[in-house]
Amino acid sequence: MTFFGRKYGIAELLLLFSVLILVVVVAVPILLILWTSFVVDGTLNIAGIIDVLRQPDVFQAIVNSLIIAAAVTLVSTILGVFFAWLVSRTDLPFKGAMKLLFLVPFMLPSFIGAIAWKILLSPRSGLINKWLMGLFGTDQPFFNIYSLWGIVAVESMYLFPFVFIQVSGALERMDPTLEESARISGAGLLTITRRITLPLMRPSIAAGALLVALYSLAHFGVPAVLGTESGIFNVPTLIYQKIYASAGKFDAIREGTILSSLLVLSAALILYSQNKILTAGRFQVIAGKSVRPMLLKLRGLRYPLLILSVLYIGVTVLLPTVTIFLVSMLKTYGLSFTPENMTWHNFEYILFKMKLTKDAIWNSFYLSLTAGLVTMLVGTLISYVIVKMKVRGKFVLEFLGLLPFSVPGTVIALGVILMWSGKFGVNLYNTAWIIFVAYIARYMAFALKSTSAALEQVGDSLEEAARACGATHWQSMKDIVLPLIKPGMVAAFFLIFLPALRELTTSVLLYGPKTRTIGVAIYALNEDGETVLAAALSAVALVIIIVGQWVIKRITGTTKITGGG
Amino acid sequence: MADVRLENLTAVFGTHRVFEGFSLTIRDGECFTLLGPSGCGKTVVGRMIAGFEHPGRGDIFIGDQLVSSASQDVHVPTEQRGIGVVFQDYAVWPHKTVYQNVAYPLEIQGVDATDASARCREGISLVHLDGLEDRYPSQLSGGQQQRVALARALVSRPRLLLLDEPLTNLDANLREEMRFEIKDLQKQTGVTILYVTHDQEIALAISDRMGIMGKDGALRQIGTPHEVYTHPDDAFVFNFLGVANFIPMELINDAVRITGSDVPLQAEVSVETRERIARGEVVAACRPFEIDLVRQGGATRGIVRRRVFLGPIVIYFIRVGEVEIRAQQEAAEAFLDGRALEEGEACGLKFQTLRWYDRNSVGKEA
Amino acid sequence: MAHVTLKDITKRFGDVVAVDRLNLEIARGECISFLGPSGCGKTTTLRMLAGFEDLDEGEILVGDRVISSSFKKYYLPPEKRDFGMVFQAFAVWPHLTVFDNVAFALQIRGLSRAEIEEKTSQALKYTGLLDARDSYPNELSGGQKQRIALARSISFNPTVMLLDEPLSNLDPKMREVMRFEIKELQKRFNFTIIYVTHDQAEAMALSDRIVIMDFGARVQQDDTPVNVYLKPANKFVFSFIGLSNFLEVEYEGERVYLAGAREAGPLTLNVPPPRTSVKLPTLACRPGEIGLVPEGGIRGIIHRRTLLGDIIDYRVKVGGQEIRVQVSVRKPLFEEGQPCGLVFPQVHWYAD
Repeated sequence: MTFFGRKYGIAELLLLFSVLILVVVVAVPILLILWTSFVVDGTLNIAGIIDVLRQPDVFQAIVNSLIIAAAVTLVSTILGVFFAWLVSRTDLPFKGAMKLLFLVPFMLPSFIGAIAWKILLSPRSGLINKWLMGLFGTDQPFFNIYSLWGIVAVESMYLFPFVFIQVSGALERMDPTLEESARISGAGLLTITRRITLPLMRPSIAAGALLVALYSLAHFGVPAVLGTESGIFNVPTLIYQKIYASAGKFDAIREGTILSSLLVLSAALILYSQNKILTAGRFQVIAGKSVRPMLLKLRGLRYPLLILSVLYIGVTVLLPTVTIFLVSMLKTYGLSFTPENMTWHNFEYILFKMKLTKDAIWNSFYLSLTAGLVTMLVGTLISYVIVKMKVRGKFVLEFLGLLPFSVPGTVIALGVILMWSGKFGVNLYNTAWIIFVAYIARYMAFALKSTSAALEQVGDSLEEAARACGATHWQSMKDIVLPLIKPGMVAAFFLIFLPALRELTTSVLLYGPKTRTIGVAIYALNEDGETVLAAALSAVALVIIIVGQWVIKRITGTTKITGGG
Repeated sequence: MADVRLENLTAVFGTHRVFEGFSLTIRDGECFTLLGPSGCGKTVVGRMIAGFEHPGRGDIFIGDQLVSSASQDVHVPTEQRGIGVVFQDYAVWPHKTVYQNVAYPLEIQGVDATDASARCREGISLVHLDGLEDRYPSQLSGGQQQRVALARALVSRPRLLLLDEPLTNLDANLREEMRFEIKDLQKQTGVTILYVTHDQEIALAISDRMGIMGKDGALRQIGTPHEVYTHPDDAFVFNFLGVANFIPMELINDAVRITGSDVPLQAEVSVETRERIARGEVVAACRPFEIDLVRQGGATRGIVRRRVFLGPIVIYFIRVGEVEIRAQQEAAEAFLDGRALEEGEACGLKFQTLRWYDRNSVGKEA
Repeated sequence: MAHVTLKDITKRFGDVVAVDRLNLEIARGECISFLGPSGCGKTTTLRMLAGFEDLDEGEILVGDRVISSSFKKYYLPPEKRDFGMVFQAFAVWPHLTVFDNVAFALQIRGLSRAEIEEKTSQALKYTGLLDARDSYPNELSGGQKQRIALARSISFNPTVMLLDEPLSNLDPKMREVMRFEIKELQKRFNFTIIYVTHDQAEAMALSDRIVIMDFGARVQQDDTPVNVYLKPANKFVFSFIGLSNFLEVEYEGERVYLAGAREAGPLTLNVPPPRTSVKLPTLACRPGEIGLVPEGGIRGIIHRRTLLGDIIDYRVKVGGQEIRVQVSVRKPLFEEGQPCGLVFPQVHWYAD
């Protein structure tokens, strides 16, 4: 059809539609945040911003955020590189199992871990502290988890897999002849590692480290559980504090947006540096043929390092998980773990009787499911336009699509509040819809990444071949493209469903009395001192997550047909 | 079964003009190869005929049907052009079996089920894949996947079969085998074939006629393989179709010499050519096997700089004056008849055929 | 004394014997190729020489010094062997400049800066890379990268160079150029070259000696390229090097016929078949060594004609057998379907 003298076809319409969706869902909330923080009554208000930033609590929160992020990044990088190297480049026994176990923290929500560690290491009633105090006959606690270092420790435990995955993947894919040629040139293993392997790993290490930094800066859960007690705030928890303390007064919201802008800017900075590092240092180091990489023989260190790894996994993965399950079965918190003190009653209560938890479970499920489905479908459409359609202006889509990837959940929540609380005539505040919209904004980038990867696997020639066989564009999409990207779409769905199910950061700012999510419920129970119930719901959440992961494996594992000609 | 006529096609991508004024007629039932170096635009021509690209200018006819015209705003979509396409990466659909792949065109066109089944099996048989109907592409070798693509392209009895470098990803032996199979398929089905490739060996081997495209997108020469090989029109075609010697010549004291040598060329040169040499307009060209090597007497003298044994032949790099000329002998002749020359040995070259080409056309796209 | 000696070396991977009691002696300054099909064990042998694989049995010596021995459980690690090695995918370090790539081995050996500069520049000069010394590998072409790999290996003046299919990732023109350059380097530095390839033209062009291997690294023939081509030891070698026709024959008295093609006429041979009592030998001949004549010879029909450039490839049907003949394009053409005659001036006999 012709419009303004130029031809507009279906492709252009789809592009417009996609841009519209992304703008409304993603761009506007973020822009509103920036607008609200920088502009007051129509004028640019930098002075006001600086005033806010100068306030002692705000300033301290920023400092804390930076310290935590820096420390967590450092620790995670060291842990990640060490274990990745151990698993990919040495003859450590049971490597396969180790590899899987190191990835477990990825799957578990870190705020649940924080609760577990609180149970173990809170200064007065922490189980480990009590045990050690008894052992050594002192009443001075050994560890205080309610500290900056407590936060750093727990966050590191859960974030190091980012680095681990990047580095172990890169190590395994690296062309072994790069190291062999160094060897035959006369270099021993240490020299090779120092001059060849590590420099070539730099992009992967940097990629992982920056992701950790990004996450930590934006993280709500662990600082909320471990920090607020002793008045340690980071930026997301301070935002939450201000908004809830003021019961939604505009000034507080404005302060919140200023802090959020800070988060957005720092996230943008991090992503920018990551891009720089990656493009500068991305070398083609991937091996064409699959050859076995050079393994270091650990000899005498073999079993000690194995024990170290097992201990690490035991302490960081098993211990908190077991603690959660055990505590959730106590009749009352503080009792010792004897059979008389244990019961299944708590589970029965939260699953079938308690309104708060029943609602939360139901809310989380249907919100995650619907958000997952909608995001996946819309994401697929948008990806198709980006990857497959030859239409001018799709770079706009690419840009918009990547935006929320970097934007912290807190910021999205706030942006969504600003946008959907009556400003444009629609008021979703305190309804489930506002959480729904926030989830779509939050997870759109994941859907786009996954579905565009799947679409890229489907070579153009596959569709062209269908056209040459007599199929129209639509027939070719239905018969060829869709079946081949189905696994990618399913993966995208689960990439959204599971994280949405267990998240806290976003819904904690958006929930109303009837729209609590599982994360919010656990947090609320913990805040109210109902430790046992919090543990019980946490345990249920963990079980759901583990089952969900298993289901994903089954579904994505059984599709053996991959796309591409 | 139809002629394909391309009239005055132009292809422009952004500011890059790939070709313009491209015209060609492919005759019904022939196997025509479009041969040229990478980037010359040959693939674009094929894709325009198929309908995957729009020409900026010009018309395309398949049979009597105008399928594409920029000026008349005609663009018949690919699926209605009645062509079969085989791609370089095979493009067989991984989620469909061999049978389902081949049956798809018939399914789309709504062919009656029993009829379709028969034609499908016939097609699979034609490419010697009987028994593999229920396999998935991932279970097949490269050569087998290529056959599936062929069967699929032929099953709907297309007017034209377009093959875009289909054999490049196969190993040498398989390539040879598939060359013959494609030829046989053509004989059996009578389909018109447009084969697009940069590999002159394949082009020479399978074509009824071939067209050579230069890097600028222009069609340099069209003819049968034999014509084009033995009578190349210009230096580009000559160089593209095989190993070439380009030998600069000069006219000194009324004798033609190879530049820098002090020995007169022992070969027949026409008066006209002598004049052109004198004016510095031309350069001589010949293939290594068109030179006979002798040890003495009546031939242009040179020195063997390097000798390389390749198995069936021995290659010599011989310096005459300022020029290095490549010549060869058959291995049996060289080593069993004792006619092999050593490095550093003096020898004589007898030019059996010398072509003369415009000096300006040498070395640009060569 | 041989420069490199392989004594009875054996390597197993699980049940598969990759290298089966290989014995070889290589003289100083020789260029020897291991030629064979994919998976025959030639690369494994090379890796054993380099020290990347140990030996299940046997010994490897350089001069009179043992560098790998299964008996003595002695194994000199690769970094101490002082060999140069060039890999198929070049393996140049992308994060180092050309200069640093080439200087690496010298830096490891703790030479002074001045010495490193001198030797590196020399290596760069002989591989034509002086202008590129400050470039990074990803800015250079495939051929350049392979030159970096060469320069890197010769920088410390090794006596042995191991090359593992170094040219297969290059385009044909580049391959020819690099073949020549490798040869030139060898002449200049006089190292011993051990070269692994599956490309027989390459092996022919480069080597003083070709070792043709079948699976298990079993040596089928070990001789000069000319001898391997003109006097192949057995059917395997014959068919691996160059094109081949294997024809079954039958006798009638003193006359030899192609099996099942009596009516085509008897073969006139300058090399009569060996008389074996067990089985009839196979006649092997190369397509380029068969003469195509209009009259005479044994009679057949042209089944297919293909122009290959300077050669015409004919498939001739004689009785039930199809014979491949290649003739120069300068000779007169035969049409498909035309009757013709074949003469065999040069044949080999294999008693299987």
